[in-house]
Amino acid sequence: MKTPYDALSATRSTIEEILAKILFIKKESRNRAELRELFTQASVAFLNLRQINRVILQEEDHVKQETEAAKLPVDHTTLQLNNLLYEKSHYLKAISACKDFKSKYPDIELVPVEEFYKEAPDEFQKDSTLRDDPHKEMLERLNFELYQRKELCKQQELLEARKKMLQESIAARRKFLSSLPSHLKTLKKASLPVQQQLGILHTKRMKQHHLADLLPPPLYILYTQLSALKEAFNENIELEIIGSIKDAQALVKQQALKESGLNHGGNEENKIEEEIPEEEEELQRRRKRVKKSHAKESSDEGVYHSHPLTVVWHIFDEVVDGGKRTKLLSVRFEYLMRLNMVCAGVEGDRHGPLELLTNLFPDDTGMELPTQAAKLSAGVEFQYDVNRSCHPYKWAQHLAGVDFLSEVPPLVSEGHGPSEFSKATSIRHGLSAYRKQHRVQTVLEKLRSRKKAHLALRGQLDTLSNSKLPHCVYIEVPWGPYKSKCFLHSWAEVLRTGLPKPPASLDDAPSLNMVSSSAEGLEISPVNGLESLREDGELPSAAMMLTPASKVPKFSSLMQKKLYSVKERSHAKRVPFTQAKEAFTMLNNDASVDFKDLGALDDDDDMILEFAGSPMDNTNADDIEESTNFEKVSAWEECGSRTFNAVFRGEDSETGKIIDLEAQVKIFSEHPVRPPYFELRQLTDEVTPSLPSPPRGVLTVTEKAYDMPPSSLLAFSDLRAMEKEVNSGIIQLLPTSHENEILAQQLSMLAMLFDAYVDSRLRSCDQHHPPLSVGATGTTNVHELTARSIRGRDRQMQLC
Amino acid sequence: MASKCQQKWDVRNWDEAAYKVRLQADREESTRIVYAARLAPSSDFVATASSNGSVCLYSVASCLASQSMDLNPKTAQLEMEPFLSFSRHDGAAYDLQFYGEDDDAILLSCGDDGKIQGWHWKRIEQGDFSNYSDGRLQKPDFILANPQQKGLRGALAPVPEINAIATDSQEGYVFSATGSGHAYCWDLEREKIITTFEGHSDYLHCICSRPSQKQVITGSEDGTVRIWDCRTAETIAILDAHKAAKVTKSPKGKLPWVSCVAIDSSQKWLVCGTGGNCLTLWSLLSFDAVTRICTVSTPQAVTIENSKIMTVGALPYLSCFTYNGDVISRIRIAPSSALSISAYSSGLQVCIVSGYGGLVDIISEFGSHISTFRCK
Repeated sequence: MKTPYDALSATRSTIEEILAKILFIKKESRNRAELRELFTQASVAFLNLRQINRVILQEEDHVKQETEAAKLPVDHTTLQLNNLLYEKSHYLKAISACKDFKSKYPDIELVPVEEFYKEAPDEFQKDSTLRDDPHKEMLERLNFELYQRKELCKQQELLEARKKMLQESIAARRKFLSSLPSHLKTLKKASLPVQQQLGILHTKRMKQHHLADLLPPPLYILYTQLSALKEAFNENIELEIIGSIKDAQALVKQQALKESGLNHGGNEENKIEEEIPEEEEELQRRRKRVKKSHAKESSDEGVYHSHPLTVVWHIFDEVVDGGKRTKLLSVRFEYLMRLNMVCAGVEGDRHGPLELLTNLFPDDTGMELPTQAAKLSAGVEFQYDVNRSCHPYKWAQHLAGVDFLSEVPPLVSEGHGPSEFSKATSIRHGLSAYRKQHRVQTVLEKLRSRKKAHLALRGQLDTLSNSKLPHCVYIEVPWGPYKSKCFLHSWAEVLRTGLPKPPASLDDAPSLNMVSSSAEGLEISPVNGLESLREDGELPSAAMMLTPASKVPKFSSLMQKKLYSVKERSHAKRVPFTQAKEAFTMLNNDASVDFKDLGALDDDDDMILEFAGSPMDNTNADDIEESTNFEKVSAWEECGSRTFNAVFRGEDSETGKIIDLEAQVKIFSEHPVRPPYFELRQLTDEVTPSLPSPPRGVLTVTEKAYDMPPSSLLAFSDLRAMEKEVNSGIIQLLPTSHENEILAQQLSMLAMLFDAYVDSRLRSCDQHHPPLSVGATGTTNVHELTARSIRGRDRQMQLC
Repeated sequence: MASKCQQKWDVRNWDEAAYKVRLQADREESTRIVYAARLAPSSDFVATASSNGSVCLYSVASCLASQSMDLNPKTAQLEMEPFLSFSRHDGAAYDLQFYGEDDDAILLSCGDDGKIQGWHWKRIEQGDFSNYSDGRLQKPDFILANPQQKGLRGALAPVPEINAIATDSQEGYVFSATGSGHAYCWDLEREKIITTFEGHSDYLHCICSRPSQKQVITGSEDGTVRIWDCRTAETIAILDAHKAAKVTKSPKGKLPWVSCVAIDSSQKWLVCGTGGNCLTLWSLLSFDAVTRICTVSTPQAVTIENSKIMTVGALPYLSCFTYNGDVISRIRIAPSSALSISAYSSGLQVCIVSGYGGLVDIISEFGSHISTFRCK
C-alpha cells in the first residue's frame, strides 16, 4: 500500500509540476485558456494534499495512542527486569559470600575417621549413607566431637570440684601434719623406755639406717645385705653401726669437695645434720667409748687408718627358746680406707677355745692381705699386725662385695663419667651374683655352727682339764656303751710359738703381755699329773733325743726368729721351761716327727754310712729337720690351732704294770669340720725284750744305734692303726648332727682302742698262756674257734 | 694337693659336704701304707700294693724326670699319679710278685680279701690297658680265691687273707701264705690248689720259695719258720726264729711272730726277722742258725742281695749287715716305718722300700735316693 508519506510527496510533486507549468504560461503569456485548466488542477492537488496531511496527522495520533498504550507494559517489564537483575546480583553476591565462607573445623582436632566409626554410637556405624557423604560424615563427626567434648567438660568440672575438695582436705591434713612432728616427738620420747623394756629397737634401727648412708661402699653393701637377710628371712641377727658420726660426715664432705666444686650434696648434708642433735645426746656416751678404742688404732695412722664407722653384727641362736634368744657372738666389721679392705673381728668375749674367725673358710687365716691392690699399696714387706683385733679375712671381703666393687678405695678414685655407668652395671651384676651365691647365709651358717662347736669344745676342754673324759651324748657307735679300763691320766696344753696367733681381745691387753722371751715361748700348762710327766718324760726322751741342754739354744733361736705372741690362758700355770721342754721332746723324737711330715728328707741324711758303734753326729741334720718342721707349721691349716697333750693310763690287771699312752691332740681352727688330729706315742717302756740265749755256735750281734728307741708294748704299727681309726675312721661313724662332740668321741674311741690293743698285746706277750689249744676239734687250726684278733702284714687288730 | 684346688673353697661357692669329703680323703691318704713295691721285669715300672687295696704301676722314668727337676728336699717328695691302676682288692693289698721272666711274666697281687689277682705282663706292655683311659680299673686276667675253712657245725670261717705270695716259675707254682695258717701251692696253669701246707698254729706272715730243692719256707705269727717239701707237703724242719734253734714241733709258749723270711740267690742261706727285734741267719744246708742280729726295731721286711742282709723295720732306716752281723750301712729312708724291701742287682741296680705314709723310696746301690714319691 501506498503510505501517506508517499502520497504526500507524490501530491507535492504534482503541485510543483502544475505550478511550474502556470508560471511557464504566464511568462510566455500564451493562451490563457489553458491557465484556467491548470488552476483547477492545481486546486484539486491542494485538496489532495490537505487530505493526505490530515490522514497523516490522524495516523500520527493513532500511533501516539498506540505507543501510549504500549508504554505501560514496557515500563512494567523493565521494572521487572531491573528487579530480576538486582536479585541476580544479590544471589551472585551471596554465592560468592558463601563460597568465601571459612569453616572453623580445620582448626578443631577431630578424632580420625576410623576412630570415629569405632567409638561412635551404633546408629552412625550402621548408616551407610554416612560413609558416602563426606559432608554428613564430617558433620556427624563434629557432632560427636562436640558431644565428647561436652562430656569431658563435665568430667573436668567434676574433677575440678574433686581437686578442690582434695586440696582442701590436703590443706587440712597438712595442717595436721605440721603439728604432728611435735606430737610424734613427744610420743617417741615417751616410748623410748617402753622400747627399751620390750626390746623393740625401732627408733634405733631407723637411726641406723640413716647412718648407713655414711658408710663406705663395702660396709654399706655388707650392712644392706645383712639387714636384708634379717628382714627377709627373719633371721635372728641384729645389726648396729657404731662410731663417730661427725667424723664420718666430715669425711663425706671432704670427699664431696674433692669430687667437685659444686656442693650439690649440701641438701642432704643439712638434712643429716639436722638430725644429729637428737642423736648426738644419745650417742655421746657411746662415742666416747668408741673413741677410746679408736684412739689407740688411729695412733698408727696410714695403713691401718679405718673408717670412723664400724658395723657390728650380733648373731643369735637360731632356736628361740622361751622367747629369750641366746646371743652367740658379735662380729665387728671395720673398713681400712687405705687398703680398701674390710676387717672382721669378734666383739667382746674372745676367750673361746679357738680363734673364731680364723679359717672360717679354708685358707683364710686373716694374716694376709686379701686383695692384690691392697698388697701393692701396702708394699712387699708389709705384714698385717697380728695384734689388731680385726683381720682382713677373705670371707669378710666377699661379704662386703669388695670383689666386685672397684679395687681402688673410693676416696682415692677420681675418675668419673663414662666409666660410671659400666661401674654401676658391674656392681649390679656383682650383687646379683652375691645373692645367688648365698654369701650371707653361708657365712651366717658357718659362724653359728662354729660358735656352737666352740661352745661344745670349751665344755669338753673344761672337762678334760679336770682329767676326765667328756661325756658323749651319741652312743650309737661301737665304743658308745664301752666302759674303758684305762683312764685319762693327764691333759695339758702344749703352747707353741711357731704360729702367728692373734692375741686375746684388747680389753685384757694389760694381762696379755706378749710372751717375748724365748724361754717362755714354749710352755706347757699341766693341770695335774705334772709329776708323772716329769718322771716319765725323762726316761725315754733322754735316751732317744740329744741332750736337752744342747737343744735348748737351738729351739730358742728358732723361737726368736718366728716369735709371735701367744694367748695366755687363765687356767694355765706356767712351768719352768726345762720341764716343758721335756714334755715337748717326747713328742718330737725322730719317729713321730718323721711321721708327721712323712719323711721330709734332708740331703745330708741321704747317705749315712755308719759303722757299728760309731756315734753319728746328727746335730746339723736334726737342726734342719726342725726348721723345716716349723716352716711347715705355718701352713694355713695350722694357723690358730691348739695342741694338747693327753696321757691315757692303762693297767695290766695281772701284773699291775702301768702302761701310758701319750696322745698329742691338735685341734684345728676349722674344728669340727677338720677333726682333731691325734698323734700317739707310748710313754712307758714296759717290755724290755730279753732274747733267750741261743744255742752254742750262734753268733749273736746287737745292732748298736745312737737313737735306740724303747721297745714298747704297742708297736709302731699299732699306734698308726689306732691313729688311723681315731683320725679318719671316726668321721664316717659319727653323724654330722653330733660332730661338735667329735673330740669327746675320739677320746673315748681312743680309750677303747687302747684297751683293746693293750689286752691283745699283753695276751700275745704272755708266754705262759698259749692262746691256742690244739686238738679241741681234731683240726690243727683252732683259729676258727677263737676269733682271730689280729690279721695282716701289719698285725692289725680286728675291730668289730 | 691342697694348694691345687684351694681356689674352689670360698664363700662364693661353698659346699661343706664336698669339703668334708676332701678332708676325709686327705686324712685317709695320709694313713696309707704301701705294703709292697716291686720293680717290673722290664725295669721301667714300679708296681705297688697299698692299704686301700689298690695295685698300681708307676713309671720309673717319670719318677726320675720329675725328681731331678726339684732339688728342694721338702718338696722333692712328690705325689705321683699312677701310670696304671688295676682293679682293687677289697681291703688291703698285702703283697705283689712278678712271676716268670720277660714276656711271659705275670703280675700277681694278693690281699685282705683272700684273692690272688693276676695280670699278664705282656698285655700291659703291649698297651692293652692304656686304651682304657676313662679311669676304669683293669680287671685281672685271673683270680685265685683262697678256700674258706669250715669251723664248728660246718659254719664257714671268715675268708682268710693272703699275706704274702712267692713264685716258682720253673714249675709254674705260686705259693700263698694265708691267714688261716695254711700255705697253698697253686698251679697257675690249672688255677687250682695242688698242695696245702698245714702245720702252723697261727696265721702266716711271709713265704718264700726255694725252687732248687722244691721247698717252701713260711714264717708265722706263732713264731716259727717251717720249711716244707713241695712234693709231699711235709714239714722238713721247724725253726724257732726267736731262740735261733731248730725244734721238732711247735713250741708251747707264745713266741714273737716271724715277720719276714728271705733266702739268698744261691739258695743256701735263709734269713728271718721276728717281732722280738732280731734277725736270724740260717744255713739251709743243715738248718742251723748261724748268726742272730738284735736289731734296733722290729724287722718288717728283709732281703739278701750280694751277700748283704738288707732289712727295714719300724724305723726310717734301711740297715745292711754282713752274714756276721756287722753293720755295713744305715740309710735314712723316707717312710717312717717300712713294710717292704726289694733289691735288684741286675738291670736297674736299686733297692725299693715302701711303707707308712704311702711312701715309696727308690735307693741306689750306694745309698743315695734316686726317687721318693708318695702314691696317689
